[in-house]
Amino acid sequence: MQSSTAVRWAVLLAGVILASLGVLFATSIDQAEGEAQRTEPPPFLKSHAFTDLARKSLKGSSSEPPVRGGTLTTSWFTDPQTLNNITRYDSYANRVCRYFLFPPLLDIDGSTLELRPELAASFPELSGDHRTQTWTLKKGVCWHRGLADGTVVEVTTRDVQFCFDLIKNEKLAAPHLQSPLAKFKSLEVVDAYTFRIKLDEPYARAVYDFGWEFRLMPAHLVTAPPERFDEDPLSREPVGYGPFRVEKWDRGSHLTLVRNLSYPSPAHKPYYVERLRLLFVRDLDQTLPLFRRGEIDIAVMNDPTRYEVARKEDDLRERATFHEYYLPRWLYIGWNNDHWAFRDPRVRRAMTFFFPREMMASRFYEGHAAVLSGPFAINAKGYNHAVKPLPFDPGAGEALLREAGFADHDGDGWLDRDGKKLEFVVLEPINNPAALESGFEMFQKELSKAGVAMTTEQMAFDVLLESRAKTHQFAAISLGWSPDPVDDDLFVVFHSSMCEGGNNFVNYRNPECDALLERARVEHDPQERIRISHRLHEIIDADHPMTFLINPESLVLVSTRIRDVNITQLGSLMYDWWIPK
Amino acid sequence: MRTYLLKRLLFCVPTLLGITLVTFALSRMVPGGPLSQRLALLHEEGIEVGDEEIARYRDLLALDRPLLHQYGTWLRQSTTLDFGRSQSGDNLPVRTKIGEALAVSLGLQLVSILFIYVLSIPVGCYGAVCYGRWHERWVTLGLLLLYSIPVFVLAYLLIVLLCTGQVLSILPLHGLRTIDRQGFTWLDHAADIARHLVLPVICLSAAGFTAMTRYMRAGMVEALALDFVRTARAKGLRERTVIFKHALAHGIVPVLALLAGLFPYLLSGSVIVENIFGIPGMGRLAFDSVQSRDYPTLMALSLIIGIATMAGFLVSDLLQAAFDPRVRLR
Repeated sequence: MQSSTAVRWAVLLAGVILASLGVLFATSIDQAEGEAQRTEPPPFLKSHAFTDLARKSLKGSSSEPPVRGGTLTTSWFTDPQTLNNITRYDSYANRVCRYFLFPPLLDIDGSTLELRPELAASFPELSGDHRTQTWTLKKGVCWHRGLADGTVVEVTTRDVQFCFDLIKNEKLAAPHLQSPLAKFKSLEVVDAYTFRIKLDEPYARAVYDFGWEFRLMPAHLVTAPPERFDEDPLSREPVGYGPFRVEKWDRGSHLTLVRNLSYPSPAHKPYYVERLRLLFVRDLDQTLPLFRRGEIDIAVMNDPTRYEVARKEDDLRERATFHEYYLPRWLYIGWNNDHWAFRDPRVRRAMTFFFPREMMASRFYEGHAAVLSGPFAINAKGYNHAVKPLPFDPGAGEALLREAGFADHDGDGWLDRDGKKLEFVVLEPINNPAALESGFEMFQKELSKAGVAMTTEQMAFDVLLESRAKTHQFAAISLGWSPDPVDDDLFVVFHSSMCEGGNNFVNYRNPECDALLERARVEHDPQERIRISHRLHEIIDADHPMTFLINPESLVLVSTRIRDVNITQLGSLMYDWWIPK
Repeated sequence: MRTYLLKRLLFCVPTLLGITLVTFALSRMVPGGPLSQRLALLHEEGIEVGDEEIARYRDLLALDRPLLHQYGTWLRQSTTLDFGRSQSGDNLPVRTKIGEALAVSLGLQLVSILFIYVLSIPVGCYGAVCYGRWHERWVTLGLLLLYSIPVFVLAYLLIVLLCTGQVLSILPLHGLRTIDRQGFTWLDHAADIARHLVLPVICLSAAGFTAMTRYMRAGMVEALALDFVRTARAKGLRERTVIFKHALAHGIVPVLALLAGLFPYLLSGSVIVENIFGIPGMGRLAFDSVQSRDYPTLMALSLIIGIATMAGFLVSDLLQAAFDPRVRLR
């Protein structure tokens, strides 16, 4: 009897222990899942359709087969400065040339942000020491204009050699291209489609840099010498080889591109639209009226408030689909790490506590911005979602300032230390968005309540950059960075050697960060590169050389007359959009 | 007269030199430059350029030469109307850029000026003839209101009323011509241009029309009170003849003299109207040149507008003398 009671007790005890273990296990799973949910990135692409007609225009909703033809019109703020593929440097020219006229060797897939062969037949073969790349060009790609006698001219290594020599020519004025390609020392032509390029030392992003940045011009048509290369007639009447060619460029008015069906487009880029028209609209307030009139099919909205108003209009809900995606761009306030007050990381962190970033994102950006905790775009692989942005917490900020030795010693209402009042100016470019300005006003008020005097000073962006940022003549500076969408190299922004002559305007120095940045430049394993980026994110968050503000969303309306509309992480690339007859 | 003309023309030379020198000095005093503008654009794109490349770039754009050398070179070249190449990034010859923009602005401004005169002379006459009556006061008030409306407000009001479909959608709101013009007859072309011109011309003429109407009204009020008008009436001439034959010839003089003063206005374009209605004219070119610190284009524009202003003053003086026998040129 006693033994059976003991057994019962033993079974009960075992049951309790098992149950407790079970509960503990289940709790730990829940916690892990909760953790996983919290560390998951937010959705990066959002498309909204409010009516049946609008829903029909979204990708995959139409049962009709796509047809070729039609003209798709979009508005751009201004003309490309030039369509010379070598000397171009502005974003408009880059888009026209890269996507439509002169596709690069490797293209970025907008949905995955991975590289894909475009003009290259495949990814290059790399030598064991990563110093030699062997590239093969796709066969059958022809220039839009051949020889004077009508002979078709194929894109071959002759063009590659010609352009490589041109870029290396000291008389050519294209520093934006010569700088990233400076590491490629020599080129050797193997045959009409194959060539090798050599680097002095291995560089992790070398394939990407050459595949994405190297540019071609038709060697058989170029007439201008290198020193006056941008005067070549091809700058105004470009001859490319891509899926579109220029039909008409009426400067200041519009640029019309027409489909070139002879280009062997990759399967995922059928480009059904026959004509693509870029209408140059300098007054951004005209974008929506033009869209309403049906004069443009894509309206990029710069003002989140207007976008929200448009989303509520019945007429536009019927005639448009609404799309939101994150631009590869982060905005920040850089604290001069050599400034007497901002030398202390506690003061820098305190500043972040005072900035109501969430409120700015929700109120002034209407929720179309993500608050950041580090120097990556929110959808970048390098962004470490485990590092959370500091909350808006003026109390925590004040505590940190007290810890750093700041108090109102002289009783004038302002914080000071060693007889110096805590006051500073945030330098900012004159074209900062209104929403960001409103955020700064709130920041100023919060600081003022805590006894910190902050003012803003606006100046032209180029002046700000040249005369203040690069010379470190500031206490705080409001700037932005457009990282590379595939794999950004933060070396120029955070490495201590970049304080002079680089982009480390804030004088940030951390040996561990330097070592990681150096490693990232030679690490070829993508997963390891991501791990390095995540660690960098943690270090930079701890040191807080900057207050990372937000990553704004790009807001786009697309007409419902277009079918199979989708948006990618690079925006509206229009690969498989089509227009019903 | 000939001596006067010669003196005025000779006086133009140092004035023009002064204008170019001041423009040159001012443009160089403004912080930044064509290169920093490009570097800023590249920075926004995430591209960094090394110091060595920047130095080479400065050399190629001749930005590293002494300022006096730069001014001297520009002056020497501009005497042969060679204004060099734009430094804004498109690297086009400045003459080409100005030629394209001038063709657009000149046409637009000529139509506006025509519109101003065609309307302001009869309305001014009406104001003078009906001077002091209640309906004339209402018209004057209306003109004052029109004069007070900033041009961009007027433009947006007209757009909302006539273009967006919120009230009406009967006029185009962008550009000077329809892009797809296939199958257009010459009549269609003319109608298309006319429709595109309506709103920009109204916006460009609004202030000028009200001002000119006031001048016309004042001139006519003065003329109608003069002895020769009284004599004409006393002779028993019809009121229409008194007003349009005798008084108008006197009252129109100041308004016609002002015409020459509009020369620079013809060439300089309008930044606001051209930007709102997407017209690639001189105003927009000037604005872009300032933004991008395009020194050669800025210098050429200041020279051309300077010449137009001086020519305007000269012609204005000559017209004054031609119409008004009391004015003698010495």
